[in-house]
Amino acid sequence: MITVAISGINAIDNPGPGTGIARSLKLWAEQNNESVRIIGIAYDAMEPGIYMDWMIDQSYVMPYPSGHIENYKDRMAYIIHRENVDVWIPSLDVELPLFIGMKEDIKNMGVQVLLPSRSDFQAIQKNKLHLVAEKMGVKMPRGMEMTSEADLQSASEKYGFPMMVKGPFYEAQKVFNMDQAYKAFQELAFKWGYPILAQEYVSGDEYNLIGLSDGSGEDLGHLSVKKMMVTKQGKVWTNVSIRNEALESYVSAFLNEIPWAGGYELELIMDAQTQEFYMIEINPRFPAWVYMASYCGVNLPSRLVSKLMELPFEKNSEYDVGKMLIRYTGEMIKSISEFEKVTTLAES
Amino acid sequence: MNKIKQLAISESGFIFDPSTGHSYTANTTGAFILKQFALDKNESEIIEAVINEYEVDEVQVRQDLKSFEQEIQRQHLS
Repeated sequence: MITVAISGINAIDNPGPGTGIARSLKLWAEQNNESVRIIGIAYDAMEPGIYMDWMIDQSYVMPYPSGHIENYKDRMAYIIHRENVDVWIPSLDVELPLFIGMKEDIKNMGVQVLLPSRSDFQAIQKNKLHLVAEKMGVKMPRGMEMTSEADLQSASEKYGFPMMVKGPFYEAQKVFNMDQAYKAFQELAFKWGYPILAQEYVSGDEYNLIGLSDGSGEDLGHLSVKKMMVTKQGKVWTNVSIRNEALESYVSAFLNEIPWAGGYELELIMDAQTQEFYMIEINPRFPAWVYMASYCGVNLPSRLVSKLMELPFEKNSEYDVGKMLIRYTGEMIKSISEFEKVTTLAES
Repeated sequence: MNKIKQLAISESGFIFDPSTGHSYTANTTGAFILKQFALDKNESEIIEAVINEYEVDEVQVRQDLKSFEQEIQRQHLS
């Protein structure tokens, strides 16, 4: 029995990767006659994953990662001790700086975790990504950091409309005029703080590549998709798996430049006219659509767990091309007593 | 026309490009012509194949093939 704690179980309209990771591990267990117990790590009693008992065996609510670090560590230690957790997969962007900072403490708690170095994590942040992209040999739309409305004015003159306005960690809005640009700037600054980023808009289809590495620069598997349909927030609703040589070449280009440890996602746009790829973002974690890769034959969460548990695993990237992921909405009906348990005991 | 060889072309006329994820719909004649391109046939061979298959006028086939080739280029499939 392997026990894995997974965060990001907020399976909402802007879903975290947690339930996809859990589902991937359950698939691996089923296919390999293994036994895996999933501990869901939530930050709110309303995170749907807490109630998805066919996938998440036990859930705990954590204090926010932005709060007091000792409280966070105490809660982790409690969960690890109580559940005999073998592996912890932090799958939210905001958790990573905290986890990187307490890497030694986590090891001392007796749990395995795969984390990038602080410098590697910082190198792929939105405001530094152009340096990595340049070394990888992939283009990036022009962009600039903004801390004032004067900067916004200057960005709009430089890039014209439409233009992308992005939060420092999350969210991006496509704006078509100055009024929309101001509104997006203010909303994103209020929600996520500064700096806000302005970026030239590249028209074309969006492509994503999911991958895993262990800090050695070795590719432990990857899979590419084209986004077919996205939500208003730009989140995947329908994907199709593809195989594109240029896209795949960015795996080694990325890992040669940044010896990443953990799951990652490259987000690119193919220019509709020139057919050239532009790097948009590198996410420091598995994306929410991670189960698609697992289903197609590249089960990266299971490879991550196997790596940490020193179990044998495949490293290939052989997968089915032309498979579609289609999200849908669904409902669960639960008793209020389950919610009561989570809100009063912070676990279920 | 090398890229055409990589396309998945079904009998129904549904075409999937596995390198870009784009999908297209052609009528049965269009799918037939694409398959001929995928077999590395030249323009005269394709015209002959279409005439044999559909019993149509050569002048018309030649015109239609030209505009079809332009469409293939416009869609970055050639």
